[in-house]
Amino acid sequence: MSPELRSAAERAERCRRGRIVLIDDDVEILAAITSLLEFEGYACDSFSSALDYLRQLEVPRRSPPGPSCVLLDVMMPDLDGLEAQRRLADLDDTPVLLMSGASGAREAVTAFRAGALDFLIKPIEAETLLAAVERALLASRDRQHLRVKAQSLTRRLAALTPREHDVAIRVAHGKLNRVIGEELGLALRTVKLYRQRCLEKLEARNTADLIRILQEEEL
Amino acid sequence: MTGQESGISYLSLGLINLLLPLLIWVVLARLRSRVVALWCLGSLLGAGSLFLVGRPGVLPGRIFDSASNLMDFMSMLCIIQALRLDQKVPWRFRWLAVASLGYLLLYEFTRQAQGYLTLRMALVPFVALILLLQVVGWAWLIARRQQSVSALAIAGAHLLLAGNMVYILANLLLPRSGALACTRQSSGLMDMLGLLAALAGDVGFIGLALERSLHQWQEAAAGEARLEERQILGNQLAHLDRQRGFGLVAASLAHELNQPLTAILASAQAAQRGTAANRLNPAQSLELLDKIIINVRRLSMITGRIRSFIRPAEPHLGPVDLEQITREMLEMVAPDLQRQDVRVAFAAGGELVQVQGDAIQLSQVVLNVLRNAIEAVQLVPERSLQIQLTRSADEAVLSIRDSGPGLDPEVAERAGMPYFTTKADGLGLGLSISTAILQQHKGSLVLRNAEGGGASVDIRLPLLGAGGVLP
Repeated sequence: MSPELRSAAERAERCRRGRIVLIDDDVEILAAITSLLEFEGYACDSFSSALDYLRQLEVPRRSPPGPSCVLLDVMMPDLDGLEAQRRLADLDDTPVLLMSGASGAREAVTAFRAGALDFLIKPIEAETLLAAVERALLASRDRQHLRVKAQSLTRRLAALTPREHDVAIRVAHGKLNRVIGEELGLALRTVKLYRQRCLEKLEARNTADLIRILQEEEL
Repeated sequence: MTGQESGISYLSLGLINLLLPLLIWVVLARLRSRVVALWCLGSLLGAGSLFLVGRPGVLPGRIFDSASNLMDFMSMLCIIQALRLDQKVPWRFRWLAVASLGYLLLYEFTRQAQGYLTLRMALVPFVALILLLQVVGWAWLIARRQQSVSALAIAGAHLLLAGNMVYILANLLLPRSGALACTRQSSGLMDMLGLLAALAGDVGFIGLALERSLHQWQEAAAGEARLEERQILGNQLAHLDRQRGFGLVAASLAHELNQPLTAILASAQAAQRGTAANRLNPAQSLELLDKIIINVRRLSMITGRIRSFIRPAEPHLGPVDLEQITREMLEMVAPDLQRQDVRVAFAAGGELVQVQGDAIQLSQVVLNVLRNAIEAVQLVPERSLQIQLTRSADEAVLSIRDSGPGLDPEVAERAGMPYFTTKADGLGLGLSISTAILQQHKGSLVLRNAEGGGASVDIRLPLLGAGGVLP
């Protein structure tokens, strides 16, 4: 295996464990926290300015699969952490952790209102940092999982014909085949047929499963 | 009393009147002034007159009377003038000369003219009475003004003499037989009174001068003590202001201290965890240790800066590099500048600009001015400071101009006065302390609106070797 391939493989391995985007205007802090996180087996991308990171996000680039989070310093010169957090929230749902040296309650409250997962006070104990990162990555994993699920459900729902869709909605509302047939003006046999096709297309094991899937989609 | 005896008594009186001013001149050697000189001259003239009276044969009879009377007259004038000069209201000397001449002419006239015997007899004691009352009046005034017992003694002695003159005049003018005999009889008393007046007057004068000098010495000592106290207070105030200024930058300093601390903690814990899990190779652990050392040095630089700023209140004098302290203070406010997004342009001529003074106090002035400027530009979107260090032949000028809204005329006028402030949280001492520090350094602070907007502060100091004097 060539060194590039090996490092690519190592990076992929690290990304599977978790990728942390670290943003702080102090290069010494970037270096130190990067070391700490990399020794724990995470991938770490560091930026000395939030603007750099936002600019980099504009160019779509595939990173190896895995959970990710952003660790953001509050006190930064060109774009402060709270504003950066707001802009990031508009772009995606990557969990954000904020860190600050001398922040008051107001900054912390603002950060939490904007959806920050944690607010770390510098200097940060490694255990505190790693625990917060682990929680953020877990949240990221959950969100990614939900997103994948939602995406596939949307795809599956899209596969239904309008008639099948009508039937599926009524099944989800717990209506009997006979009632559905009357409402839609269909023969009982046709209703059963559509119902079977819905189960197949939505990959539901049985009627209960079908109802759960459709409720998740809030139909 | 025979003529011989009377002559001897006049001579001895004259001798006393001669010795006393000499004594004054010696005793008050250190306090000699025009007042003392006039008083002594007055006494000497009096002595001269007495000598003439005591040795009638020295001068021809024609001149003798006139000379003796004129000397007496001038003696009194000198003494009055001494007291008036002491109270800073002297007569013009040329008027004294005119008065002396007038008196002489009047006296000669009464001698030449026939039938004016009473006038002639009364003229001398009458004029003497007026002059003596002048002396009494001025001595009394000095005694009142200065609570001086010595001046009271002078007044008392001359009042007795004046009383004697009244007695003589009364004998002359009141229609009573044997007036002349009476004056003769009273001549023994007159001698006694003259002696007493000379003694009391001269001793009183010495006392007055000594009292005066003691008073001046006390005043000078008190003044010196006040000055010293003010200096100490000023230094303490400057120290307090420095601490307050430091308090203002403390928040950003806390942030500044936290950064290296964060890096150190993260590096150390990375090393700790890596070593514990056996995941660290020597190169990696060396790198982490390097990071820790670098950041500890960063920390000690910051603490050094704090230490050098908070220091005992006494000034330490030496050559101060204005460019260096300006750069240091810019570093001190760097976090603020960064946070407020203030651009700074610092132009120094490239040559060394040194002044004599206390580096910390001058740093404090620069910091105060910088802080004011940073606060001023907060009010506008375009935030910049233009700092310029220039030198002329004998003066260094550090000019700090901000892009803020500038000063109201009223504010510009009152800025720099103690306790005047436009800030809700200010003590109003910053600029006045800066001004005071610069004045101690023989420099000045000029606050004005710059052409093209914004306020401009010029810190002017004499260059080292150009009369830059120590506070």
